[in-house]
Amino acid sequence: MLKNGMVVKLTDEYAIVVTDESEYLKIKLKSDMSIGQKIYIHSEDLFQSRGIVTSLDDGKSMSDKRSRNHLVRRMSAIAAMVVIAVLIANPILRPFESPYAVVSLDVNPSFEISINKNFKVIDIEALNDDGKSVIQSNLKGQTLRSAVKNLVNNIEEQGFTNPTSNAILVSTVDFDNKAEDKINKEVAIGISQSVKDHSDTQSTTVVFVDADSEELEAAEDLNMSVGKYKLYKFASSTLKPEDVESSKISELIVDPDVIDDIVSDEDVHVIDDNDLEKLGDLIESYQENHSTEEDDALFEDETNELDENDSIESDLELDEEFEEDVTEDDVWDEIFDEEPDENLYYELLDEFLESEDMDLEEFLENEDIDLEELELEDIELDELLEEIEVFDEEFIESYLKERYIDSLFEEKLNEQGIDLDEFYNEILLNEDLDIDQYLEENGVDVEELYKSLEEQLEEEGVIEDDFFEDNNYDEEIFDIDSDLDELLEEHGIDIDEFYNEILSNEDIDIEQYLEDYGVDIDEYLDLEEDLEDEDFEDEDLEDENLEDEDFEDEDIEEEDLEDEDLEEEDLEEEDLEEEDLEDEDLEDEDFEDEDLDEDLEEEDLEDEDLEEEDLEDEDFEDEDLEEDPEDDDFEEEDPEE
Amino acid sequence: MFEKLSHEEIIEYMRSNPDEDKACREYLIQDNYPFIIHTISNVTNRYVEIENSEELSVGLIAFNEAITRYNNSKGAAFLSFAKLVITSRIKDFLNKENNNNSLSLDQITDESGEQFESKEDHFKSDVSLEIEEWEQTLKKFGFDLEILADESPKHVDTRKNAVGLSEKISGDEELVDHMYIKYKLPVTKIVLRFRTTSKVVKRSKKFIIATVIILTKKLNLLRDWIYQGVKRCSSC
Repeated sequence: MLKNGMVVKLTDEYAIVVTDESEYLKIKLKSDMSIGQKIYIHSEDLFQSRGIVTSLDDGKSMSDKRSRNHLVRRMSAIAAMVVIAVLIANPILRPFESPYAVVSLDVNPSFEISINKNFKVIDIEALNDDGKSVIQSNLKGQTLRSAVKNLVNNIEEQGFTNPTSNAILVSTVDFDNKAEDKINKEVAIGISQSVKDHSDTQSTTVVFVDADSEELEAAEDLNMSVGKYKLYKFASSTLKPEDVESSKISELIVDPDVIDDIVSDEDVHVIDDNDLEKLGDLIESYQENHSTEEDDALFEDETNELDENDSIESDLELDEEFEEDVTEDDVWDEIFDEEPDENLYYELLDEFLESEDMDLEEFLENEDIDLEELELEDIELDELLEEIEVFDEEFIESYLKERYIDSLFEEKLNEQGIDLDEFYNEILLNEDLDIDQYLEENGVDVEELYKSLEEQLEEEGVIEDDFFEDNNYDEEIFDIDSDLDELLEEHGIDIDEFYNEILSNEDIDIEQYLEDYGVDIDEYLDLEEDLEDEDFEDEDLEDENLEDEDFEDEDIEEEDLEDEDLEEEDLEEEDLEEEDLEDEDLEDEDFEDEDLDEDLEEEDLEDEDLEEEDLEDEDFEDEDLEEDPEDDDFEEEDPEE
Repeated sequence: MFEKLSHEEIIEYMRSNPDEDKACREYLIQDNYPFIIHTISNVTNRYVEIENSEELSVGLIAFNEAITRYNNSKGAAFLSFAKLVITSRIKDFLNKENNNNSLSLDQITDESGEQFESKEDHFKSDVSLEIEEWEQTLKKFGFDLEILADESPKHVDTRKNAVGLSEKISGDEELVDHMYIKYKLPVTKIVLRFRTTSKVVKRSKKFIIATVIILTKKLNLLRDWIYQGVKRCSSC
């Protein structure tokens, strides 16, 4: 209930404190506050975000206003209708119809689709040459879902897709209409339906990126789609705008810089091919289930187009009516809320490499990526082993040579009649071997050997220590060696035998070899993890639970918000209906009024109406003002209670 | 032992067992500490400062007085009575302070109180310098304290976890360098290196950035502050 906080920021509305449990809180302002002040914070001091308060107020006053000022609403509806009628009648103004949302779609053809409030395509634009060849004029006027479906169909038919891996980048700018989720859903369903029809294109990943109107403008300046603009921003350090412009999305999203942001950014959601397929299947079965009962009415509509136009609304209705069934939204939510799987990107990377017929090292070299930066070496055993594989026969031999002997030594040994192969073998098999003793056993006078060796070295002006420095072998390499040794020891594998195997067989698959000897590589990885995170596992578990809780809370909040949205929509719909009715009246009148005089008269009347409206609007505003102070008072009273 | 009793019952018990007078008072004060703070804060319209708050001592004395003077037979609940007492004592104190204000200021600057005053001010100016630097750095990462307050994890254990992760990140020079070059949190690297899930990192991204800045930019006063509660929790 009570927290200790330090004031770190003062704003006009609230203060921000950080508590001694490193919690950041917004609190109400009180007098004499200063930065750095340490204070007690009571739970009632917490600042309530104004957004919530006002939205509640809006809800209340909305209904009040509704009952009080029905006439005003009527008049404003009429005024609105006049404006709309003018707009519709005037062909010049029409192209400026502002879109409800803009969706950009990149495979690499790139498109920008503008839709209106009913999710119907009002404009579609190709952003590059590839796109122009794909676009069909009849896409305008279709629903977003079917337009996307047809568009992706065309893209596939014209061969812009890879047989192995595809990625579609979808970016939504909805001008704060809060419909991103719905739009994304429609797009995903469209894509899933198209993908279902084309079984030859497999593993399509859809990446959703939310963007805002500023980013849309910035993207237009650079002459690229919003989606690509976002990708470009993610990877601005490594990619040039031209590169982004001309590359395929499936290549772009394996860029390491981009991956990082795709994984981490809140604006980005990814659904992979499995999810897409699942979505497609569920939607299909869902439509089959309901088509028999509900579509009877729809079949009466003569044109296909109408059918499709209604489909969104009817789907929505269906959702409400068949609550116990799995709805599209459920399917969508399930898929969309899923966290992106990082493995996906590695899979994509693999697929990409396969399709390009490159191996990893080549790719890294081409992309100028530091292996270390990718952090491959300390992630997994695979990488560890790969690393070791580089230091195979050649390396180990030279390492041993450098470590124990140089070529001079070798010569000397030869002189003393020792079989070098046997000698190396002995060293390899027995790490603790005392070389001196071994040599002595084989009838070598060791002291003499070293003496003559030193002499010879001095003759050549080399000191022993320098020799090793000159060869400057990397100690890290030995670290990896010992890592592996540890692993092998843990699993009771004979290290010497293992090295021997490596030495004698260049093509040996180390991983396979280990598995043959009963090493469970996964287990090893787990083991390693355990060692690293010993203490953290428990916490992780707890954390997960807690997060679930958090998550639920969020869900509930979201639901609340949605409910509010729905209510607002309902209201709007009612308004529209009213407007429609009145519109008809107006039109009827228009038809009847053939005389100019009467028209003029009517205009006068309208003017008067407008004036009246103005007056009433003012009244209205006054009332608002009157209400506001009350609200404020109310808030201020709270803490005193 | 008092958990199940109401305040009134505890006071009754205290009266009949003078031996336990002290324990009862301590329990009552401990139990109602937030209430006392809140009451004081409402009267003064200031937040009660944690260190060296005269209001707080006046309030505590008033609460103690309320315990002594409370009379159950009058029918008022103890807390409303205590509220009355605290409110009136604080008001008295404020009036007195207002009257003596000019005098006491002179005294402080003239006499040895000077050092005491400046010590506290010193801390505030130091800490506000740190906060300024912290905020500037946060801005380079594309957010400010307001966004941070909105988006930091609300749950204690999530925060603890994030602080732990931040410590590990701060200890890793390469990650820290990466952070200050790109002004981005290298999420993938962190996930791989510290074997967490990206969910954890993503959820508390801004929080982690803020904490890492505090740890790596040597903002010691802030660091000591955010660790106080953590230490307190782990000790208990």
